[in-house]
Amino acid sequence: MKKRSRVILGFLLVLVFSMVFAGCSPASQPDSSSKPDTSKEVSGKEDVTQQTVTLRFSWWGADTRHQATLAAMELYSQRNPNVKIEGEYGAFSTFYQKLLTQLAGRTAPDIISVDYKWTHDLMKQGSPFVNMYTLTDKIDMNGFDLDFAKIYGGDDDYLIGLPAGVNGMGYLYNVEFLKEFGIEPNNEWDWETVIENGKKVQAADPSKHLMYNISEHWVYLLKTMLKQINGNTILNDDYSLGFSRDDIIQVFDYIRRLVETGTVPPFEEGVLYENVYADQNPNWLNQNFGIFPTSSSLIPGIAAASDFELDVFRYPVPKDAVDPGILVTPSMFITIYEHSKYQDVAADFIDFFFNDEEAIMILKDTRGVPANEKAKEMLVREGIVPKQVSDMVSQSLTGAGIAENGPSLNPEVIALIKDYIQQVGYLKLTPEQAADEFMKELEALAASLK
Amino acid sequence: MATLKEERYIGKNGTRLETVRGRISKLSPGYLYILPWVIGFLLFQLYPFVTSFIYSFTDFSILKPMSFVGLDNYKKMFTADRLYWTSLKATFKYVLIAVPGRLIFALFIAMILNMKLKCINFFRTVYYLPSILGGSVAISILWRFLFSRNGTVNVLLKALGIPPVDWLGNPNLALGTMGLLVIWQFGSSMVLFLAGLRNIPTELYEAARVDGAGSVKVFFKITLPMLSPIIFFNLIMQTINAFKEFNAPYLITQGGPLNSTYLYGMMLYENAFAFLKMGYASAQSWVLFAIIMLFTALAFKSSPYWTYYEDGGDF
Repeated sequence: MKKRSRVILGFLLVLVFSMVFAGCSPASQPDSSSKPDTSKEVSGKEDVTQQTVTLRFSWWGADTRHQATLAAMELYSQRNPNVKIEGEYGAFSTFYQKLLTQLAGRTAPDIISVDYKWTHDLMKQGSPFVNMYTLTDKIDMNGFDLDFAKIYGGDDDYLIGLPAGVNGMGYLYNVEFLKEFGIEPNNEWDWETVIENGKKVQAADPSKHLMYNISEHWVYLLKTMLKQINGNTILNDDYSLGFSRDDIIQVFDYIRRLVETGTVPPFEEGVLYENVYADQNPNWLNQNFGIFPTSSSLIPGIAAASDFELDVFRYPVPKDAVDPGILVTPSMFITIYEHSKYQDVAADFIDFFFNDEEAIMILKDTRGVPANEKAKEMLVREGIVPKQVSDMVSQSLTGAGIAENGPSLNPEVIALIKDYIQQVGYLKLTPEQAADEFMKELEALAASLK
Repeated sequence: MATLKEERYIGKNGTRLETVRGRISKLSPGYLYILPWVIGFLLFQLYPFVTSFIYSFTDFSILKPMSFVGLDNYKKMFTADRLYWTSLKATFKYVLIAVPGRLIFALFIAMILNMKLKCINFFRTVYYLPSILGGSVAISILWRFLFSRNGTVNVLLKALGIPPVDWLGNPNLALGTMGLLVIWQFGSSMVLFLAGLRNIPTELYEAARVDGAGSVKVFFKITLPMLSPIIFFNLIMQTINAFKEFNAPYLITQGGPLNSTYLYGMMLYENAFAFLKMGYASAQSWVLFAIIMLFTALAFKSSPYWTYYEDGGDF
């Protein structure tokens, strides 16, 4: 009798363990090469015209983007009553971590938004997304500049997804604020103009600051300044340092001056809002800050929350810059998960999402100025792209810097940069000390990443 | 004809005690009742436990196939990780702030709520509320607003003529401010203390009073010793929880400023999900497990010297 109950228990254990192992095994791939499998073709050959299909689509962003995307999904379902699309959307800050967990458990959505900052990382890991080049017969890609897409999204053989928009970096400013302090916004600013005007604001009202940077922007600032000084990304493709000690000292020293002159608020104050955009920063909304350096796709969300007139001007570029350095990137890649059961439907939805005129008019510029020429022309014709957004993109294109490479976008490298910017910003390290330690640590990190 | 097996269940006087089938049918509801727990345990505890141990010797990175790297992860942690010791130091500091703070505060409130006052049940409920809310994301975010530069706390200070303080922006204050959040969630410890206080026989107090003991003496000579088993239990549970803290640093400070709140849980999470170093994060979690085990063992070893059990304290 004991034996039999043991058998029952044993059976249950085996059952449970087999369930566990089946469900939780890591998403291993037979091909261990670091290059993504270019043969990833659409494999969902199920006949979907009759059966009910539920697709999941994930993205991040502001409320305006959520509303527009949900409306477009609704329209697609109306036209294809057998297809239901569920949206999974949330904040950018935790999106990637959630995505990685989903990829690990093979529970990722069918259609996934992927930021340009993650594409190198994901492709290095084997990229579990369908190669877009295999979908040219299902998705009309004529309006897309695939050369631009592949800078951040792949190479000649593999493309992770289609870019939704073009994003340019620039200065978004409060018109009244700058007027009040007698500051002239124009496209000729360099880094010294920033500090001069920062001092002007402080002299007139010490409780106000010319600008504030979120932590991500501090990283852009450092990388852009380095590109302007020497024309390189922070790490070269072979993981060697793309700058000299003098270069980085110059940048750290500038960061210190931004703090010391009160151009930006002290780090003690600013750090609390270092991960939220201007639309959630009470100091911006209460008009205590005049400029928010941002990428163009965030403007609609910030404008909706700001109760004052906004305009844009070009990101600072020194006259003697080796490379103008301004970051121009795709705003997000729309990809298809390789384990999606309904890749055909997903491709059809993406075609609708980018090319259908009604969808274009619903989605408008919520993902930046559309990367699809056809959509962009339509929106410009209808006067839908706000002037600030199109201005920022065109201003950034006049000074587009060299593209970021994989090593420079590595999350650990970015975390290290953030750390040292804080050390300098909190005035804990002098620019020279910071430069020495930073270079030592970055070299060690780069060696471990190779 | 009785089979051999069944014969074993026939008693001396010839009565059948139990059949095999009867016995199983008696037992199976029991197994059935514990089955949800067993499945939950196997799925969500034993499986991750075993696999994370295996992962800790690999370079598992979620998407890529893993390979074994021996003890490299452990070596790297102690010798080549620039933030490991910073994080460990912050975690110990945090445990030292949060655990005693919470225990003292919980005991203090429990003593007050043990008094015979009007509407005492109402107050007990009110004081327990922060614990129900406490673990939630919303409260952590509320904490950010309360302690921000223009937050409620600074507004109150301003009314008293004190200049604003950067509670969460100052690297020297951020950890303590976060500790306050945990101390504020004293409810569960408080309920246990309250139960303990109510179990102390009143005759002990009466006898002490007759002998002329004052309140302070009564507290240290009667209340504390009689509560020591509960203090011991709370100490262990709170220490374990404090070592594992993740929500507060993640939601309030993201480990900053200057890594002053970069607690162990936060470091683990970042390595696993931001840097894709699952194998390394698994190794770190095993070291954390060892640290917690060590502290628990020390607490158990030391307990005979400072806990008092009426029944001698055998467990």
